[in-house]
Amino acid sequence: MENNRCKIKVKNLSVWYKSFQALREVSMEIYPQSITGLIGPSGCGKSTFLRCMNRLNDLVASFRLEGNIDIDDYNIYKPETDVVMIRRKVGMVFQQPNPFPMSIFDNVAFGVREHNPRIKKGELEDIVIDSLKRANLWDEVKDKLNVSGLSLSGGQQQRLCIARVLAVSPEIILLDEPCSALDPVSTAKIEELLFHLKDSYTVLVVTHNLGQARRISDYIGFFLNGNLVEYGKAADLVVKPSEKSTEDYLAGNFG
Amino acid sequence: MLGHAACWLSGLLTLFLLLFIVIFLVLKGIHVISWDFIATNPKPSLDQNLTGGIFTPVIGTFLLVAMGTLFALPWALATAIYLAEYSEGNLWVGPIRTGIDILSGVPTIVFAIFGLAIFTNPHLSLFSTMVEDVANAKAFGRSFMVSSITMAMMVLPFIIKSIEEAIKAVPSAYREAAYGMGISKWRTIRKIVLPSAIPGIITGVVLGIGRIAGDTAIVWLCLGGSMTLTGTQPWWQPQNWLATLQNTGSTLTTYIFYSSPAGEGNSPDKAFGAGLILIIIIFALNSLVDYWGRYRTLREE
Amino acid sequence: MGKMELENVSVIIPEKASSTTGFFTKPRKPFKEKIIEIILLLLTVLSSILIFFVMFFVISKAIPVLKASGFSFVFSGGWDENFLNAWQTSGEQSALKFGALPLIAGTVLTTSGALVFCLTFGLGCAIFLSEMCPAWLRKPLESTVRLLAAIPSVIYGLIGLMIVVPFISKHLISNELSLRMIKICALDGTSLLAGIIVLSMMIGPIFIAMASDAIKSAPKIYKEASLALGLSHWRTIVKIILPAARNGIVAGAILAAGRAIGEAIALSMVTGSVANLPNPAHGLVFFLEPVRTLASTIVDNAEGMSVAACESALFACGSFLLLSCVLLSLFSRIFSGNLRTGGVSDK
Ligand SMILES: Nc1ncnc2c1ncn2[C@@H]1O[C@H](COP(=O)(O)OP(=O)(O)OP(=O)(O)O)[C@@H](O)[C@H]1O
Ligand SMILES: [Mg+2]
Repeated sequence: MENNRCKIKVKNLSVWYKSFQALREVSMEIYPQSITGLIGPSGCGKSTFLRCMNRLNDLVASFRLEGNIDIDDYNIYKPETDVVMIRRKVGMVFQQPNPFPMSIFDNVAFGVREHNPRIKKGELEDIVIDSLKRANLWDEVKDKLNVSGLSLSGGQQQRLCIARVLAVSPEIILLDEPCSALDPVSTAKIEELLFHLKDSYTVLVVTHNLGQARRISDYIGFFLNGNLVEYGKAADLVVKPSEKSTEDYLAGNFG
Repeated sequence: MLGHAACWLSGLLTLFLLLFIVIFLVLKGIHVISWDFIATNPKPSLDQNLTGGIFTPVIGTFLLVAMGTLFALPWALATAIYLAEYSEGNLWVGPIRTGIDILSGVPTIVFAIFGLAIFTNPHLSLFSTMVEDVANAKAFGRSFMVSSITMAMMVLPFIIKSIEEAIKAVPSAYREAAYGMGISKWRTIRKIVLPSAIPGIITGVVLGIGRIAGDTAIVWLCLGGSMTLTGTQPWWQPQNWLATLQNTGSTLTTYIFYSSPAGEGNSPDKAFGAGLILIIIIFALNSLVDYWGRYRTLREE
Repeated sequence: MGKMELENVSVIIPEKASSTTGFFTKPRKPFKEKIIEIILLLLTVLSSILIFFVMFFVISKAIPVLKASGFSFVFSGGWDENFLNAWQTSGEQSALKFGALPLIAGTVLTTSGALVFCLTFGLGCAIFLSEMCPAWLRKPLESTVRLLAAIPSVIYGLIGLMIVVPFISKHLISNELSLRMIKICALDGTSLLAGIIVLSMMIGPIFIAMASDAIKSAPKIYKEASLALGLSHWRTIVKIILPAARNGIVAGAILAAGRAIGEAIALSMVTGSVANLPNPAHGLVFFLEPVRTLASTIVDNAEGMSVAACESALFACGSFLLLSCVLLSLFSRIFSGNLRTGGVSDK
């Protein structure tokens, strides 16, 4: 567990929405080239935690945070931080597939163009093709790159969203229940994709599907009522959880 | 960054525009406002100090608002009830809605010449005694009745829209409960749906009132340019009420137009005084709508 | 056995009930309901055919002048002389010829000028209101926009006449300039520019209200996705939010344009009330020349309605107004049709 330096270091993270405390003193170290799964019952703060990583919670007016999140030893909540730079480093895939209302090609090219307006056409095409290939989508869409992204199936849309994130080459990828809107076949495809991704990225996945968490994660964190109850190697945590509440959750005794 | 700055600038500009208008009107208008100003009739005079007050324009505004609402409300209510509750399955409802929608885009000046031309017809002299005056070449069918009917047409689509929304916002569970008890459709609407929609209906009416009180074009054409009430005097005695309605007068808006340098009255200070009072009325109406809206959402929560 | 009885009871009671009370009430109640429905339907139809009645009436009144003038109604000037002529001759056949080019130009110029302000400052304010505004400022700004939209046009006219017009005549028009132009038109501050400014103040708030609604209802997921990709807030607004809100913004602009075209009183107060066709050859003086719109012509010349020819000419103006507003309404329906989906469409 300690053989490589941690990528993200969360220390005493507490989050409030107005007066409601959504996270309580969460501390956690997340390791590179691995998949970290976050599980827990609905409303326990998983999404909140994830959205702190790329400061997307800044959009919520009532949001307030205490504690530290260091990415590569840099505290991203330092006042002088450029959030845009953080978000380039930390990509995110949402629960509902949300391709932009533009063509498949433009969806993937969009972020690249924005970050590098003077990019050569050939270069851009290479990046788009490469990203679509890595997202396991290329074979399905190579003949219709100019078709609207919204015309794809839900699973394809979700992979398009992943390709869109890969294209801007982040180091960390956050996925908030990426498969909850998908059928089992699409889910399997995404799981396979995630498995390949972990070689080059730090991946954080929120999931409600315990089987999925077991299958894909190297580490698992269990949240309950805003607390990080237990965190450790996936194999250990699933086989013999040290906390009673984790055991109950794994046994299906929670909503 | 430049874009950010431009947006901030335009936002603040909007705020300052309102502040500026309000402060300007207050500064210019406050010193003419007094009890006398409100309670005396306008008098034609070259000396601005002798031009009197705005009593009849205020009366005119209230008359027009009351009558305009009186004509528009039942009509709008019926239309809104039909559209919200009965229109299902009626193939014509699309065109009907389009017609009402287009009506809301018609400029008030078009309603104004329309109304004036219609009611100048001698057969309709019931609405305006001016028409009877054939000897006078300029006999237009102007009167409070004519202008309030025209106003009613103008506000109709707006009132219909907000009432329909209010009716549609009534939870269908209420209706189903009533139908389940064997209550007929119309009685359900009257006893259950309309009472629950009352705040929305009031909002619609108040919005309509604001439009009537703020319109100038229809008043200028259909009520004319005489500042005092021209019906049989004294107008406040009940036997003269009908005559008053069949004759002309003015409202705050036409008073402002008339007194401004663009009109013949040429008493700009008085125009500002009247403008201030008009704006206070309009803002008060808006706050009322606001209050109702907030009250409703509070209750729903 | 007990079950049997229960079944019998439950069948019999309703039958009994309907046969005793239903005998009298049943035929009468639906009849009353039917009558009410028919009355409601009639009133509804009346509200919707009102527009056709107005159109029919206005256009039929306009026909004598439109027929006599033909295309020259649109393509030639001389309205003021035509009008005086028709007034004095009390409407002989020759007096039915009118040229409304300056009025149409005045309408188009004031409206498009105001739209330019709307699409710059107005759009900026809408973006500010829905995307950038600090929380404490949002409510006051929203109320401001609503109150500005509720201010009667005559007050905008009054303010234009007492502030904007004197400002223009004092600071933008020199004595030499007005002397030089005296042959063409009097430059006293009442001008196209004043009209555009006053009109912008009037229709700006209407546009801002619609545009900021459209921006607010642009799907949040797109915004989040774009921000998460590492776009700045501003680039997200430009590339994602505004395109998604496009239909609502266009619908707002169309609605505002309709209001601008039809505005009569305020413009009659500040544009000079002269049927003058500003000449672009004069350079920037173009904006300082007086104009008059179709709508304010009706106000200014209303007393002429007692002469049939003048009345018909005013109705000709009215029918142009009416038709353009009807077209704009229909047009904006096309755009606002997509509003509920946040203006997003598959391309
Ligand atoms: N924008 C917000 N404003 C106020 N409260 C919020 C907001 N977002 C989340 N919360 C609250 O914070 C708590 C945690 O929410 P969060 O979305 O992180 O849960 P979650 O673990 O992701 O649940 P789920 O599995 O259902 O997605 C919830 O109680 C929720 O009500
Ligand atoms: Mg969640």
